Amino acid sequence: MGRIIDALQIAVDSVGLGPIVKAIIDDPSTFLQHIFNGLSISGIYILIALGITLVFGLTRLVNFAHGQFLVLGGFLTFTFVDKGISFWLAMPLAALAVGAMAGVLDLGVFRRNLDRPINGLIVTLGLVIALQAITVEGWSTEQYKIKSPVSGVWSVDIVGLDDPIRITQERTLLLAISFALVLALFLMLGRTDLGRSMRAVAENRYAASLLGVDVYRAISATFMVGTAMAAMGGSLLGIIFPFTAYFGNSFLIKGIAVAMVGGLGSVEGVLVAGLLLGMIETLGTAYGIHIDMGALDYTFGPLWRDGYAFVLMVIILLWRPQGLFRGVGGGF
Amino acid sequence: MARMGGGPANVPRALQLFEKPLVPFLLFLLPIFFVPQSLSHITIIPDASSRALSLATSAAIYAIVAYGLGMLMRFAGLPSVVHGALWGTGAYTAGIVARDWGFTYWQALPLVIIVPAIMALLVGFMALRTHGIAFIIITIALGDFLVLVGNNDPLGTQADPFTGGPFGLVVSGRPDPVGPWNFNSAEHMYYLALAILFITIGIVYLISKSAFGRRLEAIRDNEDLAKSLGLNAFLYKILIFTLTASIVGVAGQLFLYHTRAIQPSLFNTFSFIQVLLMVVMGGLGVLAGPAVGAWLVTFLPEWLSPMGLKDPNHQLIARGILLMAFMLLAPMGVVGTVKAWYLQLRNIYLRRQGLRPTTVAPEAVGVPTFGTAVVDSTDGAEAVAVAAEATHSVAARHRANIARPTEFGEPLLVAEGVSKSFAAVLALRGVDMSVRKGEILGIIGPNGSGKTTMFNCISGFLPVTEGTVKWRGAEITNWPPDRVARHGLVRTFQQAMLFRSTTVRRSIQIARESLHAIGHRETAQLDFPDNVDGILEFCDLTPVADQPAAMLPYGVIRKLGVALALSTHPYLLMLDEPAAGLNDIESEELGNLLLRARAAGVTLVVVDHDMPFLMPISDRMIVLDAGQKIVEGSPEQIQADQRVIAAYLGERFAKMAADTIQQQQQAGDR
Amino acid sequence: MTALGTRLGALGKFMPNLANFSTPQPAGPPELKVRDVVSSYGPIEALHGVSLDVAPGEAVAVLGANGAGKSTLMRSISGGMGPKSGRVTFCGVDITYRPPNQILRLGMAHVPEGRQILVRQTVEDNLLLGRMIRKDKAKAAEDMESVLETFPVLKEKLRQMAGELSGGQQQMLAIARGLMADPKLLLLDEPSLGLAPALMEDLSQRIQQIRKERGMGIVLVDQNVFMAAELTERAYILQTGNIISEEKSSDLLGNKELLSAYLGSQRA
Repeated sequence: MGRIIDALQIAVDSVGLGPIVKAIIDDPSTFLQHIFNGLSISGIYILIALGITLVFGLTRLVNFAHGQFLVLGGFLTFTFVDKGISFWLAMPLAALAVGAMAGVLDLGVFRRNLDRPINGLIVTLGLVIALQAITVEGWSTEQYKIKSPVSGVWSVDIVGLDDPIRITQERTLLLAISFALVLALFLMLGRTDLGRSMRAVAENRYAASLLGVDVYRAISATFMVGTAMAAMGGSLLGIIFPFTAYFGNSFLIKGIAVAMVGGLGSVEGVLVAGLLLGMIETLGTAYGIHIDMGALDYTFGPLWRDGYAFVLMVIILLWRPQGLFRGVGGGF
Repeated sequence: MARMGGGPANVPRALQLFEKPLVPFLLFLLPIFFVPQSLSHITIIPDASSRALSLATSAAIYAIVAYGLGMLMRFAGLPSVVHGALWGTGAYTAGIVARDWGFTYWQALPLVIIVPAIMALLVGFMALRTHGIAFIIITIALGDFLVLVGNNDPLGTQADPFTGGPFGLVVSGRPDPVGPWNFNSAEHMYYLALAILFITIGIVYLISKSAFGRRLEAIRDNEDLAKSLGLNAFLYKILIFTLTASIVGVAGQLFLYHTRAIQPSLFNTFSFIQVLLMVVMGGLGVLAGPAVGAWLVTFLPEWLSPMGLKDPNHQLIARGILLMAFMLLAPMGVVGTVKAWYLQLRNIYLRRQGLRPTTVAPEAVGVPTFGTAVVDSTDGAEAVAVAAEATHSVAARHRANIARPTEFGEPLLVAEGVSKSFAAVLALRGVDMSVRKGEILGIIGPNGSGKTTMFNCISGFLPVTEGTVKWRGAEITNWPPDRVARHGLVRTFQQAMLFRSTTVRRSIQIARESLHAIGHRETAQLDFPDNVDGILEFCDLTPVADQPAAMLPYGVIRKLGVALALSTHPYLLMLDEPAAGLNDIESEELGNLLLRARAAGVTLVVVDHDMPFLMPISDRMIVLDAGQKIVEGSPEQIQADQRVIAAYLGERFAKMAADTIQQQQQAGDR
Repeated sequence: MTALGTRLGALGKFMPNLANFSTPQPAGPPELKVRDVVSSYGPIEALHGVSLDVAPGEAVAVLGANGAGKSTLMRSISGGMGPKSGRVTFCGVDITYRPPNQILRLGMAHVPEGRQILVRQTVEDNLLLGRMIRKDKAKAAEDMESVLETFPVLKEKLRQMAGELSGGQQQMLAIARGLMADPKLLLLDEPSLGLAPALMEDLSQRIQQIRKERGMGIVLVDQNVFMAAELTERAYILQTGNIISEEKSSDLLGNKELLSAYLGSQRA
């Protein structure tokens, strides 16, 4: 046992986790604060990654424009709210609009490339550029923020800790809605005929077709559901963080990272990987990873926030390329 | 004057010359590359000269990068986004050594070639283990990570920046003079860029004509088939990955000196998609493609701006839509499409003259790696069918009685206790097998008995769960498939495997050349022709030699598979269901081919479930059922064995069937 | 428009067929007519003009060795692939280029070769998918109960992953699933593959029972001549893409030439 502790000690020290562990022990309430923040950002990553993993499961296509759907959701919601529509109505409206757009794109663009994933990918790359520029056209390159329907902060005292944790209502909303959406998705996939059809098509298109499933309809439905979820993620994001038309790219990569780490096609994988990334990113950014090896003395701080997703992706692709969970029809 | 087969000889001499790659290349490029003064005529910009020159230099530099990317896509089938970051690495290397060490342009040049190459080796080792989508995603991740590193500048500080963060790097001065060339003028910079561009194009051309290029294309078309012929796919991919990195690195240095200032964001995924657009728009697989694409993408906004496309944002929308449109509708790009039209027109002309139009080998058109091949299908199909018919007459000449030896040599291959399980399914249970030199061993068994799994385990395409495989005394269990093939144990595949974008002749050439590929080889001394024509003749393939492999009828493709394997001079050839889907005539011809191969000195193992095909050619047979060996013996013994019949037809039928067969055998009904 | 749709349909399994936007309605008795079907996989022509008939409620076998084209024929009939030429009609409707899900709605179910069970879904989900197209939900639920009576082992393992079932049980699931659509004609492709002989007996009996109960027609494709003899009235013999003869099933067992064709003591 002692040797294990020693080994852990060495690992912790060399990667620079030592100071982090110390900081956690010193100030537990800030740590819990970070946990909460991490959870809420996980919600967004999960929402966007679900779309990516669902679409991949059924079509073996990775849609690079998915990040833009998130952004568009945010922008449309902003405009609706700006015109006086209540957020609670604006969010689903925006999701519907973006979902409908995805349906049209599916018909025109994606269907032709169902069995040529690399072609399809390049097409979606073109789509990203076009959509991003259209978004800038429609709004501008400025930062936007959606007026939040809720405001206020709850101060929660936890037994045994000095400082209370501050929980903002916006983040709570984000958590709650993400949770509700994921739950709804699970129920839909598990209990409804549509969900069963989607799962069947993801596992074996031919067998599904023999059972009477309209394969194209299942694929369209998947696109639209996934897109709508991303759009709602964008709306929720927009009430907390200011966003620009260029935000889509980083969220896309993170969504892809989460989907790949979880196992492309696996819904459970997305949940686990989403939480993982959200937590690692938040904690890593908050505390910083300090490397001290002789000449090299550097702290990986907030600037490196986006880097955690890359590192995770590379690690998983090298260690377990199929992802943590078995996906592609097996996951959901 | 219709000729059988329809090879290039049909085309009139004048057109033949025209169709060699260099001529259309020059036709496309010369007007663009002319003298700078004429640029003001090509572009419709009011203030022509200096702006046009600057744009043209930009276009040339982008063209170099496009060739780098295009090379990777064409020869390896991989669109890699990390090359954007590698391009940036070249630029930054040049900038940093100029700033910190005072290197001049030419002094920095070797570094600019080496540093991106080293980076590419690191990246490549990680990325090239994956395929397809995973590869693209990992290159995007690595590319953007490198950009992030560039932005965050971990090795620098406020006072002493390394990469200079988001504001990037600035360089003053120009490349130092070389002889009469003084690069202070924009014109000279343009010529420098052009020179490097032409060198790059030269490299691409040389590779496309070389064995190295052919091997890469073979690996791209069908990696498993290439490995089964002994090509070390991973190594070749790393080589081209690194070479293209150096090329884009050089372009990076040029870029730095042209624009004088660089930032990391110039090299991220989003920006690099522009280069992808250039490659796609110009056309893959055609020599002029990336250059034409680069020029079009750079100058199109200028030409269109009088029509109201001034806003850079609108230009971006147009570019995105263009990329989508091209991938969906014309994946061959501008040059590729023009080439295809030309070929259609040419065939119409030939038909009018009473000549049979030729089947265009895909390589002549420049099959894009992604997207559909353009082959003149209706005429082509006819030519192919005629040629295939002719193979039967060649085979007929080979129908003489072939001697069957009765003595065999030492065991070449010994498999002991081989078991293989996939998750819960036990596909093979402790199978023992040995093959003696000079014999033909038949392996038979109903569907699902594990025959192909056994093959895959022996040849290295699947790892074994238990057991050993010994080859000529050495243990080869779990060796990678290309290594196994290089040691003289070659297998063919159950599906029709071919190199999609080549002719029959070129495929065999690739297989023959692989004997000289990287990696230690052990080949047998065979009484087998050493040149391509001889091999074609031996395998009844002469009439179809110049036909595209992808359009051949199934039976001929099967023979090609055997021909490819034989071209590598194996000691032992393992064939997986070679007769599947063949009719009687084709099966018999294939059987004869195998007997001739054995007579030339090759030992054979043939797996099939078609008794009528296998029995006449096998010396000895093994029967597999549900992953186990159940019987071993001569073909006659096997045929009458009740257990075998039970495996195929069910127990209740087996007894009756066994009696019937025994009666037939006794009556000499063979 | 239809010609274009036909050409598109001929290109591959899942290409949208412009003529196919509406679900077909039956226009006659559940009779299957296959006329001169030519099918290929890329360059390989697997069927060289096959014709056969199945009267409503009749049980017919298609026999032949491996590679004869049996599965290709089944796929061409049930919509899994589009023939290069020829015509397939069922219930009076031309189904040559219709996708499988539409053909199912006409009343033809296909239990494919290798079962194609959705192994990563539960037994229950497999069955629920099978009954998805039925309009009368109550009747469908009743039907499921009765099918589970016929195959009690499935009832036991209802909540388990289909992949955990043994080969024989998976075969039963595949058949049960096909039955859930209440078909008038059931295509059974190699149901005996990989099954132990005792199981084959069992399966054979159950299929006979189901047929009696529902008055369902069957097209049975198998290598196992014995099973065909037990279950069917008529048999077609298929060899390398051509129907070479049509027999009464009761005559099959004594047919020595058929036997030789399998085991190859001579080329038929």
